[in-house]
Amino acid sequence: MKLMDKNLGLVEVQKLEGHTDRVWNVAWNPAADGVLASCSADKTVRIWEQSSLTRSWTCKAVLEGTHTRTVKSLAWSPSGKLLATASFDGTTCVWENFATDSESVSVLQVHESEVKSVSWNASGSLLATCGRDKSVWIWEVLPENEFECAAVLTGHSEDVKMVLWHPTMDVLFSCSYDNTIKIWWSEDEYGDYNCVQTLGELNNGHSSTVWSISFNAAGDKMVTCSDDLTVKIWKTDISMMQTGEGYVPWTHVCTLSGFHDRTIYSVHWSRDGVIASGAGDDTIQLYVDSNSDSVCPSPFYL
Amino acid sequence: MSSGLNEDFLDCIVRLEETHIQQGFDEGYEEGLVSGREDARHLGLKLGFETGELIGFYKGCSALWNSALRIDPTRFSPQLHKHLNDFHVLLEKFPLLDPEDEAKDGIKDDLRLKFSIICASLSISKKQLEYKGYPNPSSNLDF
Repeated sequence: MKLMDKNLGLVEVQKLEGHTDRVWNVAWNPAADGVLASCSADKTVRIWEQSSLTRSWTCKAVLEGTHTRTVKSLAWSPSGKLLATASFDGTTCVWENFATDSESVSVLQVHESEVKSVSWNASGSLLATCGRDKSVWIWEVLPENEFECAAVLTGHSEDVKMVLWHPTMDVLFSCSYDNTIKIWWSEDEYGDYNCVQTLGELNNGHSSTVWSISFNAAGDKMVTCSDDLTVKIWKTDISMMQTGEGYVPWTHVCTLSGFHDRTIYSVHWSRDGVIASGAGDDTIQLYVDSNSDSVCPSPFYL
Repeated sequence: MSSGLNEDFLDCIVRLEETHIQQGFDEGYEEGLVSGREDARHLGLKLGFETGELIGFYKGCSALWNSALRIDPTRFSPQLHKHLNDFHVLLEKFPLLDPEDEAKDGIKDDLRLKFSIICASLSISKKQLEYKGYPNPSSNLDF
């Protein structure tokens, strides 16, 4: 495997300063090169741009005044034109017009408590939010920045930490403090979403809070990380799922343990096939797939 | 036979302590019933009022929305029609006259959720409608 031969390394390019409290999340704009958004406990969101000349990053906009508490998570729409932000104040804001005057065009206020995560589907026609009130809301994106509630999913028995749409299909994944990952799918286009699968301890799932989910580029594998100090890889038969004959369940492939000794909060699968995990032990671990097993080439300390 | 009578006769002396305990218990029980009933009455009134207030609020909202629907059915989306109908059905199903009914809490949670969905679909903030004393969701011990 070429990746195994290469010396994978992480080199710090620049430190972006501006936020006045912990930064919880960052998101790359999928449509524009060199545009990054970050959100923080200082209740603001900052948009950073990389100059094409100097290759250095500067803060282009600060979105403030709307959220009254920590902004926990954010996500760009696939077109890169809208940015959704999830806040502890219970609201989800959708923003646009970053070049000129960033404007909050929509405020969705439905969660009973903190909103933890927000995710757009591949086509940008659906937005999902989840929160401490154990519910997951799905919104349909209508013209003129109108959002209509398409479904409210109440399967989790505890705080839902993250929601993520599958990269190609309209299947929603959520993970929670209740140690499970739930998969939600609507058989028809009428928006009747049901929990079609729950990945829990009995399916080789996590034994503690699942914090994060990420898919590989093909969408046939996913990686999850947890407070149980492991990273798990799952797979499905994506081509069978795409034929539209029904739901194809996900199964456990392997568990990566022993690389972190504190809660693993974040995991992400890059387009080149490298998995990165970040944990409370102040390290980032990178993993690649060596044929059937995943191996960790080198850890990085912050 | 006479020995049997003697046993009974001595019993009230032998069992004096037991008799006193029983008497004390009976007196306490009677008083307890009285004050217990009083406390229960207060609690019942309080909970009954809260439940009545909640169901009344929901029924009022439901009635208003349904009359708006009758004036102009095209104004609302078909999903909203369905949500409003489900809301109405849940309200009818609520066991207002049977506080012991176990399904009560489940229906309350469903009502709460439906109310949130309808408010979201109408793009109105729940906070604007909620009255002072609108109950918070059941489980509060979250971190």
